[in-house]
Order: sequence, then C-alpha cells, then structure tokens
Amino acid sequence: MSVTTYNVIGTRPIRHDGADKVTGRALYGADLQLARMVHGAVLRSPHAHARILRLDTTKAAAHPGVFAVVTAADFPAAPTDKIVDFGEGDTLLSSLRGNILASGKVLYSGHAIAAVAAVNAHVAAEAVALIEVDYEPLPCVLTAPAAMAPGAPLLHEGLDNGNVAETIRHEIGDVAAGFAAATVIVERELDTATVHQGYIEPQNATAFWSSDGRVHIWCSTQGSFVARDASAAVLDIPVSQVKVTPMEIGGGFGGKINVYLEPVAALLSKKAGRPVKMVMSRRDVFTGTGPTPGSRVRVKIGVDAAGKITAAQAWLAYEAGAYPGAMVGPGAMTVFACYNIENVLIEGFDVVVNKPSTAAYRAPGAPNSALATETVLDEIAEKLGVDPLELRLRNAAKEGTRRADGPRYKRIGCVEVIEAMRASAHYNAPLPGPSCGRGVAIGYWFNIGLPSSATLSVNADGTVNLIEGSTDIGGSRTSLSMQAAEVLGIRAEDVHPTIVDTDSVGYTGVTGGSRTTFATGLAVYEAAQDVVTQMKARAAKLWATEEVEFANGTFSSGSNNLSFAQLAAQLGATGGPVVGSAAVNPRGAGGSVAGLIIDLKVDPETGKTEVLRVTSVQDAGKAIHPAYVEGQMQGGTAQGIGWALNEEYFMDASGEMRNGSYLDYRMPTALDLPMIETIIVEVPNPGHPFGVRGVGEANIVPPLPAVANALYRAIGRRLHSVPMNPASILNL
Amino acid sequence: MATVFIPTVVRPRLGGLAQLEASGRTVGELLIDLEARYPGLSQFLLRPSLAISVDDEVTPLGVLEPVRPDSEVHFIAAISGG
Repeated sequence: MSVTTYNVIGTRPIRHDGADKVTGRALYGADLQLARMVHGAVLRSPHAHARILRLDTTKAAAHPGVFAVVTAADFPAAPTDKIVDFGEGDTLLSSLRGNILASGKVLYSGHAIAAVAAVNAHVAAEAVALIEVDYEPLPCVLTAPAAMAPGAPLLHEGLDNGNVAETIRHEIGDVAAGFAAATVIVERELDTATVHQGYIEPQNATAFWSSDGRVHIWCSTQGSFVARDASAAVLDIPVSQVKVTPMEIGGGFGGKINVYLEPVAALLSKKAGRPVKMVMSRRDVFTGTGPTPGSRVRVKIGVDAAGKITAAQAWLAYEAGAYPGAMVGPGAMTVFACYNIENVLIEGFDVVVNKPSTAAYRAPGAPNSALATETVLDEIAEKLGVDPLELRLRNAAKEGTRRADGPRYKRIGCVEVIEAMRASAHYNAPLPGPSCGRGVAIGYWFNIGLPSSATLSVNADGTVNLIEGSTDIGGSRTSLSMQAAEVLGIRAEDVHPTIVDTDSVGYTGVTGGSRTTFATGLAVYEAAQDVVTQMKARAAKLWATEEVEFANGTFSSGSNNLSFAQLAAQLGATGGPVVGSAAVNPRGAGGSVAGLIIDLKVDPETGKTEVLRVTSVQDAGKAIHPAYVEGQMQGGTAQGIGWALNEEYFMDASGEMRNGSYLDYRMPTALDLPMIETIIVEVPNPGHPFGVRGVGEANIVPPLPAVANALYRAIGRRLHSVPMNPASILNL
Repeated sequence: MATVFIPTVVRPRLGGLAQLEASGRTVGELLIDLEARYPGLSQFLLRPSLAISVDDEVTPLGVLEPVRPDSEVHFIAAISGG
C-alpha cells in the first residue's frame, strides 16, 4: 500500500472548471456561434442492408436557403486500402470513409448517405427530405452467431471468412490435460445486447474551410489530435492544414474517439464557403454513432478439489457492426486476466453485422467476457462450497503471472482488491430479507500510455499556467494541475490549466484508455521538473552559487531561502520568463483491478429488480484526487448496472432500432440507484512517479457478472442473457 | 539469444512453433534474423493491430526497442480503451 506523504496529491480541491460548468459559461459545441455560419443535416438510411441504386440530390441543392450538398462522391480520390493509424488503433481509410458517408451500399439503419448545409437547421432538414434514393433492400443479419452461420448475408466482399473479419487465438499450457485434472467443470454460454455509452451531449462539429485551404474544426471529442488526423485522412489533406479546437465535452466513455460529422461539416463548408455547424439528435447518436458490441461468449472452467483452476477455455464472438473492429481482442485478453491459470485456450471472432459500427466503451470488450467468466466461477464456488471471494483469491493473478496472450504482469493489485472486498462492511453485513441476493465479481483493464505534451509557464505572482491537450471529461484539469503543484510546492489552485487546440500544444493522445492522469500527468510532472531545474539556475544566479536545493516549495542554498512565489517575482531580473515543457510517450501504464459487491431485491410478481446496496472497489495505484476517483468508480458502476439490468438496442427483424430515445432506452438515473459506496485500494504503479494507475474503465467490468450472480441468489435460477430485465426474469 | 513468442494464429505458418530464438540488439534486428530463416514472417508480426511487448512491457518504440539476450518479445493485440 502507498505510504508516501504528499502535500497536494490525495487532497480534494475544487475543480478548476467548476464555476464555468455550474454557471453555464462553459462552451460546448452546440453553443458555438460564428459569423455567416450555416447549419448541416444528414440523410440516413432507413434500411439495415441495401444497395444504393440511385442517389439524386438535385432537388435538395435547388431548395431555397441551401448552400451545399455532399455525398461520398465528394471525398477526394485516395487509395482505399490505406491504413489510418491513430496511435491507439488503426482502421482502413475505406471503412472510415464508408461509415461517414455510405457509398454503394448501406450497411445499417441510420447509415449516413448525404448531408446538406442550409441557412438554418429546419431548412436543412427540409432539403434532406428532398434527396431521392432508390434502394435495393438486401437481407440483413443482426447477431454474431447468425452472421457466422453458413449462408448468412454477406456485408463485405473480401473478408477472409464470410462475415468474420478477424480470428484471435491465445493458447498456453495443455487445456485437455488441465480439464482432465479437474474435479469440477462448468461450461456456460452468455449473450450481451448492443448498448450505447449514453453520454448526455450529442456529437457535434462545426467546420470552416477557409479560402487559404486551412480547415478549422470545433467539436466534442475525446482526442483533438485524433479528430484532426482522422479528418485530414478522410479529406486527403495534410494534418498541418487542419486545426481542431476541442470544445467542452459532455461525456464520451469511448464513443467520442471516432469522427462522424467533422469531415462532413468540412466538406460542406468547402462548398458553401461558410462555417457549417452540425449537431446530432439523440436518435442520430443511437443509430449513427458507435455503440458497444453485442456478444456471445462461451466459457468453460475446471478446478481441482482445492479450488485451484486447472484449465480455462473461452470462445468469443463479438458484433463489430458494419465495419471490422469489434473489440474482441481486448475481450479475449481480459476474459481470464484476473487469474493465474496454467492451461488456457481462447478463441475470438470479430464479426460484422448490420448494426452501427461499434466503438469503444469503457474497458471495451472486457465486460462482455467477464460476465461469462465471473458467473461460471460463481457456480463453481457454490459447487465447491467455497466463499466466492475465497475462490477468486486462491487463483488471483499476481506480479509475474503470465497472461494467456503472453506477457507477465508487473505489480498489480488483484489480491489487494479481493481482500478489500472481503473485509468490507458491506460484504460482512446480512442481507435485508427474502427475495434478496448478493453478488460479487472482479474485472481487469490494462490502461494505456500514448503520447502527451504539456507546457508550464511561471507567472510573476507565483502561479503557473498549464497548457495541455487532453480534453477534460472527468476532472483531468485538476488531476493534472495537482501533479504540477506537488512538484512545484504550490497549491493546486495556483495552477491555471487550459486545454488548447492542436496548433497550440504538442501531440497528445485521446482522453481514453484511462491514460490521461497517468500519461498527460507524466508530461506535466516532467514539465514541472523542467521548471524546477530552470528556477534553481535562477536562484543560483541570484546567490552566486552552483548549489541550490529545492524542497517543499522552497529554494535554498546555505542560509539563503526563497519560496517558489518569491523567486517567481524575480524572474524578470534573472533572465526572463521560465517556461517548462515536456513531451512523453510512456511505457509502464499500470493495469487496474476492480471489484463489485451488489445487493438486489427482486419482486417475484413483476420481476422488477431493486438495487439495495452497492460497493465498488478499485486499485487506483495512487488516487491523485480521491473524489474524482470515486466519481469514476461510481460512474462506471452505474453504467454497468444499467447494461446488466435494462439497456439494449431493441432491434426489429428489419434491423431498425425501436427505442432510440432516452424515454425508451432505459438508463439508470439517480432515482434507480442507491449511493454507490467506494473503497479505493492503492497499490502504486511503479511506472509513474506518484504511482498513478488509470481508473476510468476497470470499474465497469464487474457490474454485469455481479448483478447476474446477485440475481441468481435472489431468484434461485441463472439468467444467461443481458439485459436481465423484468421480462427475462418472469420468463425464466 | 532473445526469445520471440509467435502469436497462436501465426504458428501454423511455422509448423506449430510457439517460440523462436533470435539474435540482435533491437526488436527490428531480431526480426531481420528471423526473416532470414522464415521468409515472410515479419509481415504477420508487424501489423498495425499488434503491439510489441518486450520483457512484459508494451513498448512505444516498436522495432527500435532495445532487447537483451534474455529478453522475451511478444506480439499482442494493440489496446486502446474507452
């Protein structure tokens, strides 16, 4: 456990953007107003799978008030087999473009086909309705098992194996021998439905293609540089010709990494000669952006009489949606990631179906696979008569445990998380009565590094300005400022963070992969160290010495002492401004383990599930701002509970989503959940100077299986499909 | 000699071999060594969807990452996140 004493790290200062957010001063993309700006709208396919026989935009273009109409034909020519590498994943340019504006075929209901820019949004919508499209409807396929079946309708020509875009296989040890040594073997197959990240703010983008060829894009994005690079690739122009200004962001959870509107707004602006603003409706968000994959996962686990897992096998089929990239890779890597197992076989399949092209969602792929593993382990614990946490503890992964995909773990906190769960007041409290059940589960997420840049400039009043490029979704302005303040020996409030456009800071990867407080935090730490080095040189000049020490915000040499603020006031006389900067591309991202304890009560007459008590436990490495860590844990837990109990894309047989509003797509609200208790475990990450591990994702992994296990104990039977809603409970 | 672990889906191209010994100062030099013995192998290992792990750490340097004689090199799925 962490024992280092800090002055700022671990405290809970008020967030730097708090006043702007609560007073409405913070500017989101939809708030943006530019001179001569016009408004865009998108035509979307009503068919899940159809060939476009004719696309005629003549009437729309002639409609009064219309400035421009674009289709896929307006994309500049570029090699379709080009791979666009965004540093945190790659995609074929043809897939990227094809998803932004369909060409030849539509692959899901909601697939964008054309766009219009007009004097206002209403005229744009009128013009969209005037676009004529003749379709040849084709049979659609909506689930991975159906898409893998012989004779299934094919979405793409050229995939190696029908609708299977990629096959993954990890194997260590001898699975057959491992199962032969088992005394208890359980095998189950579990399905999850397509769900959406459910961010409050819809996607939006405003673009201005100026007469000098430069494109300026304002948008809601998790990564301004990724939005820049993707837009430049789609438009086939150099990245230096595109500037992205990230607006405030109302949630993303992985869903705002891809681009949808940005290149379209740019193309419209190029034609219109004016800035073009586009804002999605909620239905557009559901049907035209990237949900997380539905899946089928089959898991088989064998244990010996002592409760030691002897073998584990998994088969995973994830729905990619219209284009390859179903997150089955991380699903396969995490399916047994919490456990030390010598004999493992994992097979995964990335399967295209006629649904929106999927995107990341908090620990993408991991909740789907953990649902199967953690419910199978729960059954095994019951068969063995062993406490479910004790069974997990006996098999927990530790430093040195080899994962099925090859590498061994550095220091991780799996044991510590399980022990914290077992020692918690919640786990040791009795259940309140009949029809109640308690479930537990754990989960793992890797977290990532990627490049980040930061600049710190010292003000004469002893404060510093922090310039960085990580869009702030969960309080990162403050968690980054606190790391600078810790190094500089000043207050967090004395660091003034600003998130700037892509022309104004070095390359910075997405706010995703639980990386920002780790990687951008490391850049800030290094920039602060640069400031310290430069200011020590200034103090040395003042005192005519070569030996200057710096500790707790004070520079000293012999009997000379100056606080950070006192020395900052003398920078002008000692050589001018001090600006520290750093750019990093770190290794050493520390993976995080999370656990959940949940108590549920089921009404036997209606099947309604009431959430009684929830405790989320997670290894944060070191919690920079504990309140924000708790917020991440509570947020991921709430989303996972919604995923488990209610949320799903309800698709009809034709592939149309029938619940594309928040009235019908049932996400949990504050009225549905009790206060989510949190226990922060701190097993420092040796890859970060303060021990930081990312905390944004692992917390969504355990809720699905924990809910499933709790429901079993409440109703006495197991469900094998998510969502586990009242209808599925009553139909058992 | 460093040990290069072959991804399971690539092993059939090597007659089922799970790991190979290779010499070199960097991952790139290991691959050059292997390519001489197994022509075409690199194209199945150097894919944008795969990250390179050296001694249990995903490296941002890729083929430029230095290796020791006792290093382990894995090619694993590139992880992004949400």
